[in-house]
Formats: sequence, C-alpha cells, structure tokens
Amino acid sequence: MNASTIGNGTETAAATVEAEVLELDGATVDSADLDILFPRFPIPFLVAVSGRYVWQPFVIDPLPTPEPFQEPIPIPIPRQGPIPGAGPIPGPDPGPERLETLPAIPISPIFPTWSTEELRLDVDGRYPQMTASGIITRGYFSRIHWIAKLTAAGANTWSGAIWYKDGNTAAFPYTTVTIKAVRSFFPAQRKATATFSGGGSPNRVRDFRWVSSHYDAVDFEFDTATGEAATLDIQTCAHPNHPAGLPCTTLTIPEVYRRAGFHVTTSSGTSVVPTAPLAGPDARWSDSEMHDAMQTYWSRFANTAQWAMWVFFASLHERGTSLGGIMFDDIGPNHRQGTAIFNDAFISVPPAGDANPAAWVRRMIFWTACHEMGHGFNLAHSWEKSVGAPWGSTWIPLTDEPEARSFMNYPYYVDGGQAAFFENFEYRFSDGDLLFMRHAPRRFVQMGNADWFDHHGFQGAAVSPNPALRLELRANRDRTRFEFLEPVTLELKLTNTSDQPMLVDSQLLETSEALTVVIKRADRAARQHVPYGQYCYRPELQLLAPDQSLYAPLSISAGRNGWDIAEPGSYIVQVAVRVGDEDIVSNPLAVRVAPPLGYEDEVLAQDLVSDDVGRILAFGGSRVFHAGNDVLRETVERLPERRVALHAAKALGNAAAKDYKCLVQDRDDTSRLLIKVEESRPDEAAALLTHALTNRPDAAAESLGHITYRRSTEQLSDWLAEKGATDMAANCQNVLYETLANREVRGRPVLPAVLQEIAERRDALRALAPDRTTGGRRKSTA
Amino acid sequence: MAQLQIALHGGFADDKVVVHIDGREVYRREDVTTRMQLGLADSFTVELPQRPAGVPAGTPTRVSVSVRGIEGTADVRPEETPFLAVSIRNDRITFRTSATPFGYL
Repeated sequence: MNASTIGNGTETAAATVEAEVLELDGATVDSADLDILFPRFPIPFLVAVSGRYVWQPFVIDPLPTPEPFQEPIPIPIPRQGPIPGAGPIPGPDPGPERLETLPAIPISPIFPTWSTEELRLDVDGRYPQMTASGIITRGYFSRIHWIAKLTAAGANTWSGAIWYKDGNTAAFPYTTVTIKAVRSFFPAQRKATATFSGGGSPNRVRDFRWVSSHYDAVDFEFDTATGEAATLDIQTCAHPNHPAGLPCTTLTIPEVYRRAGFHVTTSSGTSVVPTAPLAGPDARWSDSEMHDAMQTYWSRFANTAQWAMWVFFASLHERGTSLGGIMFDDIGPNHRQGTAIFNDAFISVPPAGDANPAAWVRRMIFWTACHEMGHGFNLAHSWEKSVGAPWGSTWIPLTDEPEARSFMNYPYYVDGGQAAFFENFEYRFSDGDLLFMRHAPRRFVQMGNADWFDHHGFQGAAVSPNPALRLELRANRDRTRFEFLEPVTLELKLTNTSDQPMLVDSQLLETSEALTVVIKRADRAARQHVPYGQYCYRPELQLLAPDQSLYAPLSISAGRNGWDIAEPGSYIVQVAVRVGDEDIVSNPLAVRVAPPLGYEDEVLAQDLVSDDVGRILAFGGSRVFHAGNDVLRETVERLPERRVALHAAKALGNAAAKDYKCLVQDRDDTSRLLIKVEESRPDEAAALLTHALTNRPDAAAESLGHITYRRSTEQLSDWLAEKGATDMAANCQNVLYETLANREVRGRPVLPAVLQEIAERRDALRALAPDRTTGGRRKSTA
Repeated sequence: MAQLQIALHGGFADDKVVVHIDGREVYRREDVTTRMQLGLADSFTVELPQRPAGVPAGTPTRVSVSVRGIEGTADVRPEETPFLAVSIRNDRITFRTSATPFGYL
C-alpha cells in the first residue's frame, strides 16, 4: 500500500488497482476499495471510514388516499431497520426518531411511497473535507439534502453544525449532527450512526450501513479523432518542475477522479471518430460538430442525466490554436456530457528553453483533459467561482480562488505564471471543488442534469434552521391539473410564522430579482424560470403581523428560456425568495398538464407555443406582435370553451382597450424612430374582456388565479366606469364579488377582507350608476 | 504596421461594449456575453495606424473601453505586449497585457 501525505489530506490507502466491480454483502464495491478492506497491515484503525452509507428500511404499500398531491402534513417516519413485509404506515410516534412534518409527497395509487437515506462521511482518506452530507428521499419527488461541517468529537466520532439544507427544509429542523462510525475490515460490519439534534425537535437517530468508499460511480469514454492520441496518464515526476514531496508515480485520469471521491469505470466502447467529413473541410471541430460526433460515437450517449462523460481528443477547434480544450456541451437539454482536448493547440507548445519539453506537453495535455472534465462536473474556473447571475446561479456566492493549485485554475494566470503553478501543483482539485463534487446536491454535479454553470457556485442556500417566514406555493384549484395549452398561473403566499411583527418589502413577491423559480419536468433536468420582464420597485416596507401573509401571482409557463411548461406531463415547481440574507424556500408543488383533447389542439399548439405569444401573455397584451395576436384570435375563435381562450381574450382585450403607443420607423427618414399612437377599440375590448372575465367567471378565477382575476376584473370595471358605463362597471364588480365569495379551494374560502374591499368598490360604482327609474344617480349605500 | 489583439474576457452579460484606441472607435457590439467555460466573450485584432509626426517615440497607445456606463482606460505598448484582455468585475474594468496570445481551456 502506498501511503503519503498530500496537501491537507492523509492518504490512508491508495487506490491503484484498475477498477473491477465485485459484489460484497449486497453492496457494489470496486477493487480500489479492496486496498481499504484488506490493507497489507491489518490494523483496524487504518481502515478509512469515509464514503457512502445508506439506510433503506422497507417499501410502504401505496396509500389508499386518492388525492394526488397533499399539503405538508404530519406523518411519522418509519423506524429504522428492516421490517418484514410491507405494512401499513406506523402510527404517530413521540419517540426520538419522529419528524414533525414531512414534505408534500405525491401519493399515487400506482407508485409506492418509500423512504431512503444516504450519508456521505468525509473525514479521512484522500483530501478529507471534514464534512458529512446526507440525502433523505421520500417517494419520487420529495428530497432533503443537508451538509454539516465536522470536527472530531472522540474516537471515531465527529460532530458539527448543519450549514446547508436543500429541499423541504421545514421538515428537517435539525441544526447539528453527530456521527459515530464503526471501522472494520469486513464491509458488513462497517456502520455509522448519525444523531440529529437541535431545531427544537427531539433527537433523531439513524443507523447507516456502509456501501462504498466512493461517493458516486461515473463512467468515462475516451474517443479520439483520426490520427490523434488520447493522453490518459503521466509520470508525475517526468518534468523536473514539480512539488518536492510529490510521490513519483504513474497517474491516470480515472485515478484523479477516484481521488476526488468517485468510483470510476472506463467504457469499452472506445471509438476513432473520422475527422472527415464530420469536422468539415477545414478539419477543425466546431462545438456542434463535436456534439453530433458525441451522439453518434459515444457508446453511452443518451439525452438524459447520467453519471457518464464523453472525452474527445482531436487536433484543433475551429477557434484555432488558442483553444486548448472545451467542455462544448452547453447544447440541447442535457448539458455537460461531452468535453474535448485539442492536441495541436497552444497546450502543445512548451515555453522556450523548457527543461523537458516533451514532459511539459504531455503534462499540459493531461492537465487540460482533467480540467475540461471538471467542467463536466459543473466546476467553474477557480477565479470565477463567485460569478452567478446572469451566467448561472449560485445559492451563496463562493470565494474566488485565483491562486489555487487546482485543475480548475489556469496555470498561467497565477502569480509567477505556469512555472510557479506546477512547482506547487499536486494533481488535485481544491477543497472547494471537492466539497462541491462530493457533497453538493447530486443534480448540480451529475452530467446531463443541471445546466452548465447552473448552481456551479453551490455552497448552500442561506436557509435559517428556524425561519421566521414560510413561503407557500399553490394553485387556486383543488387539483393542480391544467388543460393542455392553458398558461400555468400559481400563487405565492409568504407568512410571518414568528411571534413578532416583521418589516418586509410589500413588492417582495413580485420582484423577479428576489425570486428564484425552478421547474423540473419528470425525467428532465431542472430549469430556472427566467421571466420576460424584470420589474424594479422602490422598496416599500410593510409591517407583517404574526400569521399575516403577503400574496402574489406567479405565471411560469413561458419566459426567456422558452416555454418551460407546455408539453403534457408532470412538473415540479419550487420557489425561493430572498429576504435580507436569508432564502425562504417553498414547498415543491407538483403540476400536471393534461394531454391535448384533439387534433385541433395539437395544430394550434405549434403556433401558440412561441416566443411572441409568451411575451404577449406575460405583458398582458400587445399591438406589436401581429403574428402572435393572430394566433390568439384563432384560439378564441376555434377553442372558445377552453381555458387558454380566456387568457387569449384577456390579452387581446387589454391591447384593444387603450390608446397604444408604438415605436415605429419614420417613413420619410428611416433613420428616425417615431412614437405612433394607435387608438383604442372599445367595442372590441369590451367584447373580449367580457368573454375573458365575466362570461365564465368561475373558470376565469381558477385559470387566471384569484389575484390576477381580481386585478383584471377591477381593471375592467375601472375602464368601463371611465367610459361612462358605470352600471356595467358595477355589474362587473358584482360578478367578481359573487364569484370569489362562492369559491373555496381545498376548504379555504377567499379572505373576508378581500371580499369586503370588492363589495365596497361595487357599492361605490352602484352609487355612481344612473338610476334607471329616476334618471338620476343612486344614493350611495357604502 | 503594429497590431493589437483585444480579448473581452470575464464579466460580460449581453452588454453593449465600445472600444476606442487613441480616440478612434474600433469596436462596437451590442450583445457581448462571456462564455463561462472559456472565460472569453469575444476577441478582435486592430491594425494600429502609423503615429502622426510629432508624437514622441515610446508614447503608449491608449485603449478605452466603455460598458454599462463605466469607462476603463489602459495605456499599452503593442510592440511589447500586443495582446490585451479586458474584464469587468464589480463594476470595474480591468486589463491584462501579454506578450503571447491568450489561451483558453
């Protein structure tokens, strides 16, 4: 066994054996682990305990409840340990293993509800991060991810604060974890017991069994273009400029990633990719040409998230010699699956007078391959770690590491240039890189999952263990099913759950900068919804009393990313709102889009699901997007009974209701722009808005959402009153009142204060309306 | 005739960028965005005209970059460092010069 110390990590067992998967005690173990399982000197305390552990009790029978999606409700978690057979859910248990609440779990008569937990312990072995993380999975949709920083707290015991939570954090109130591990040569005897405490809840204890000394398994395929070689290994001391204490060995790319915590296999489907004709007549590769080659020649290519990556060695990119390599795959729905290294780029040109040019080139190509593959794991450049929006997203900004001796830094960017870099470079990723690769939510890291640079800066949501606010995401309908083509409008409710009044910005939920909306379709990568409009309001603080709430509508079908929700199927939507330095994360809400009802739906969808229509609906109408307006008119005419027609009529009616300013080119002088005012078309507007808002008011309230329905209807009544039609305005307001007064969603009526305000407006309009019997105005009844 | 190759590196996001050299506009683009896996948004080469008579030898070439209402200026000597990288970070424009071409990975 090789044993050496590199950086801040102590190597207790080197993994030098080529990967070979064995089955031991039901767990998949790679032969690299065997060095740890059976060390040459069988001293128990040398057996590393770092790695992945699981707790998987049993499968619970489907619950009989027919309701597809439920509110968060108190449900006891089953006790740990196998229970023979699938039985009913245990009754409430006041003991230490009880969670107070569970996240909203989709309960289906088809799929079972189950629970698993995973523990990642990272306290020894290569580059220990003194960190533990865990994933609690319940059913298909509910997941909690936590991370804690650890310090030693006794023999084989570590303890520390939980500093990151992702998922339904309200269901996981704990603030501290203590882990006691059992070291053994025999995998079946390796265990870890985690005790979660704090957060005002009773302690919760879990016993985990060891699975692997690695955190995830990943497969690499190394393909080459015609005539090119793949540089997959180097002699670490071949070049004289290297760290004085660096062990001299043959280092492979798989070994680099094993040291980072992965069980690495290499695909047997290695191919030679013909440069002609794929790379075009110039024999240089563009990103799209490489993407095409990846789809054809990568034996594991699939348009899905998977722990697998294609690594391609070619001569040159079309950008020429200045591009040494690229993670080219920010194309299509599944990013980060393919990388390329260019053997004839500047990385093959050693510095003048270098002591060993051949070794320098080989090291640089090897380094570049590891670097580009690091991008595949969603790692950013070391000096750009803190970069977030608009390029991607970070939950909490990371600190840049411009001097890091990491695979993710440019060697020639550090002080002293590449010579200084390699003088101290130990063929490793930085601690920040490793923390991300080992412990971040797996969707951020896994290839083909989160988009490139999306969440790259992960460090954790700034989630308070005891949040004073609760964010609820819901729809104003009993079942969150939407008709095909119906724009999805949800509602946000932010409640002060503390016992003290709080000052919050009254526009907080309508400020896109404060909101992060993530939409995930089943079997697809999560996407961040980017609204078309960004509204900047002057903050107006509002006192939110205990149990008082702020409300806002949330339209999420389309945005600058395109149509996030359009195709039939199931989606999960989750929202985080930034309040001060804290992120308040909502419940995940499952949304289902029904299939088309007929051929006409499908034909119309081809035109409706467009950027023009998305913008018209988002901005409440337009006179500029003519093609989009034509589609909406066609929708109103051909599908008048469908929900989408309500949205279409509202947008068309809004645009017709007012004089409309358009920026147009001056016909006489095309270099000039003019503001042209198009006159309103009141009759058309009245017909469309009546169709949208008052003909089928219950459907409109449900489809537009209560808040938008109220705003739009009051806007209509104001407009009618301005036009002198105060009796129609009062009727309109009365329809609004009657509709909302009669609505209940899951037993919740509309707030009495809201109904009171609507009634007062109605009565005020009635007072202004002409009295048909006397010809004068009615007396005010308000 | 001397050349200066200018590379727009980190920090650009759908930005309008205007570059002047010694008062002459040499670059204007509306949609400059950094591609994060390269740290590069755009690059271009400028042929530098002969200096007028009377300009003392060794006078540096002045490069001005304006983006988002911020202006940054660098005095460079293309005969020594013909490669100039421009980045924007925290509303500050920074410059990096090099005698050799920048490489991207």
